[in-house]
Amino acid sequence: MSSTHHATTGRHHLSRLLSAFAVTACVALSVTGVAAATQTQSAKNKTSHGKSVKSAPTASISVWFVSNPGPVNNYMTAAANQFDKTHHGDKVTVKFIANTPFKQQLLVAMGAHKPPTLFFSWGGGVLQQYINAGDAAPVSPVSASWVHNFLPSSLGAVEFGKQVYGVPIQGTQPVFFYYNKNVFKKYHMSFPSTWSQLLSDVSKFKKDGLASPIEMGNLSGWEGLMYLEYLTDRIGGPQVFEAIQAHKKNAWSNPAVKGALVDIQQLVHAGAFQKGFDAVDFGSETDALLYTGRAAMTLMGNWEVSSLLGEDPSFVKSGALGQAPFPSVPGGKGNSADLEGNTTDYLALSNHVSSAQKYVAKLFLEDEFTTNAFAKTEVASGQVPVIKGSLAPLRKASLNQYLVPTYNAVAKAPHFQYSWDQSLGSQLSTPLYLNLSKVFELTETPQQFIQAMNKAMTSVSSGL
Amino acid sequence: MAIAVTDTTRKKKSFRYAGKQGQLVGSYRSADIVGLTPTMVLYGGLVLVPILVALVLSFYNWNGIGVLRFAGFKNWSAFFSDPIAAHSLEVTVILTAVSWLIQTPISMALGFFLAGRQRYRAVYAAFYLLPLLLSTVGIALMWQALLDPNFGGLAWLAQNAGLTFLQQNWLGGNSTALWTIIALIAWQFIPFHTLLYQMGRRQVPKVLYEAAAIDGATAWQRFFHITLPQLRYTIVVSSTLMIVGSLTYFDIIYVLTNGGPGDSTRVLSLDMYQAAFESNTFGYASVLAVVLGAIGIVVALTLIRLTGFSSFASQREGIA
Repeated sequence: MSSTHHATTGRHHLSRLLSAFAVTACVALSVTGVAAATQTQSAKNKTSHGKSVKSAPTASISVWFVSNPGPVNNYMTAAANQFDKTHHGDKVTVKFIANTPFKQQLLVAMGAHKPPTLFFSWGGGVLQQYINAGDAAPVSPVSASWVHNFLPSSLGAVEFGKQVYGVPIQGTQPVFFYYNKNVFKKYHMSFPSTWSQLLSDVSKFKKDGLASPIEMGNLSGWEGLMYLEYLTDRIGGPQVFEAIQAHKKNAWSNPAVKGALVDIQQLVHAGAFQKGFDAVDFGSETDALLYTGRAAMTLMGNWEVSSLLGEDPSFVKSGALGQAPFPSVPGGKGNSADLEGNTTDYLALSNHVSSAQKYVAKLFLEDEFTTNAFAKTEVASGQVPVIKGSLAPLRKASLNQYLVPTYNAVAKAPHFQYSWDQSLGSQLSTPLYLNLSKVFELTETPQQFIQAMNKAMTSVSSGL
Repeated sequence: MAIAVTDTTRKKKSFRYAGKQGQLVGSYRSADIVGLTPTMVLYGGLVLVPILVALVLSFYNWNGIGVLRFAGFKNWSAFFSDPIAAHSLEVTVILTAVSWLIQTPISMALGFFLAGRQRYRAVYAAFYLLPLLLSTVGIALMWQALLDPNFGGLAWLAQNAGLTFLQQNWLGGNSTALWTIIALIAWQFIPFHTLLYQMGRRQVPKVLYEAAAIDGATAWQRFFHITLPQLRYTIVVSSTLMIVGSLTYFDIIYVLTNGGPGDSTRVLSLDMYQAAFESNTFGYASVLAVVLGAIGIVVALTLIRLTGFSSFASQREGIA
């Protein structure tokens, strides 16, 4: 008995040694996949030439969608069903995949040239990688009529070279400060409108006994990044990050970046964040700090409202949750109406699919996701559409005290910066998270951060 | 590792036997080949081929979707000048060494205790072995909840039971996170090694102790001159599993700290995972995989060599 046990567990341990090669096993599979698929592709191209003569082709198309607990899954399915009904001969199949496996599955499917017709995308640098690899196709030129149905700032992440590569399919998700009004009331304060006020408020909270004025879950690094994004924009304007995104040499050395990092460390020195902020992710624990009044505020995307509504409905419904723009930095070059966050999410079009599938996919996108009817569906599911003219339905919606200001902020924002991690692509976001978390933990100086990021960018640019 | 080695012994014995009878010496019979084929195919497909692919890929740049681009030694020279990788290697070595130093004596002590005949031994055993039944992610999530400095169980004890030393930033402090992780890994794996030592201790013949007792040996003398030498192979097996396991340890760290705070718990296997599946730099990830694999193989072989494990000389000559 015990020897069998020994053997099984021994094997388990052995498999750890082998797991060092698990990565390569996946890689090996994908490589063979690429080789095999290239052959199928050339065969497919030959047959599809004959088909493309038809004037209005029909096709079955597939959609890979990042599963989203909530109503978005439902209206995606509803849109597919409705399209099937109104377009005879066409068929839309939606496959829902969880976030992390989605990224890997899409990568493998693209590499194998067997992609879904339409795929979920956050736009930005990651989408651009697919475009550069010839895996993503444009949906239409910027001059197409449906393009003008959208708020201009919402398409920035999918516009490349006068072509639009994706259609927004979700509400916009800008980042705001969310705060507990009861806590501010208790300490006789109002939400600060400038950075220096924020710093002095943090000190006041600390002095009066609030241990963690700001809650944050920086385990994966993206929460801390939102501070850097906003502060850089407020201090130096959008062009600072534009230079970084363009991989201009030493772009990280811009004084605005350094200023933002210094500001961040000032906040940390003041003891703004809760203990263990770097060992917890965004979720029920961080939310609990806010609604129980152990923290006063948090910087978060507007999904914070629905998240808190799930955790403690009475907190949100009683009106205790406040929403405020990121404070201005006096003397900074950036406009204090600029926004950061996820502009919106998109469906993008694969290149290695038949022309009939491309045709049907474009029709599906335009019919189902660019109209005011779709905007109403989004509003009904608690989202803020990026389709023009959505203000009226938003005013009537529940939680309109959060939705209307969000829509107005997006409509008026001179610049809506898409999250840096998505914009820069995966290769730079890893060192970015790592070095920034060290800045938050005060184990790296702003100067060291800048050097590390300049170096990381150089090695990415040199093709490593 | 243990299994493979055991197989070798059997083979050796059967060869010797075969030699005496004047049959095929040193070559395989067809039954051997048929029997070995499934193992060799699996081993080749799942171990050898991936190693070779990793080795080849380490000389290429590949983001997983585009074309493979030959990079020469670029990835390798990047590895040797990469401060993150160097630091990860350092963390891995510390984690491995400390894990071995902590887990070995505790497992030994518990194993010896469980090998005895005390009252309620089985009840204690059931408690000690509990972590062995839990999945790693389950363990990680449970400890995450317990260690949370704001809502965790330890923080609650600190505030309500006066145990203020428990009020630590266990996973979020640069100085505490690695030690917390090492402690959790020990908590998870000591039960398994306890089983090994319990078994090993039970197999030491009683007569050795009886003879020593007649000669007037003290408890320490019996431990150092009988128990430890008799447990030689158990120690090698347990240490190999511990060291190779720690070198490639990933799950708890990934769930609990993701390598943080900063890079204080960033082990090489996590670095490799991020290089491959977050940065999509498969060439560089392959370099890390090859390095990690090479270290694992060298350590395992060295352990076996140093301890003379491969020769399998009898330790019980003259005992019936």
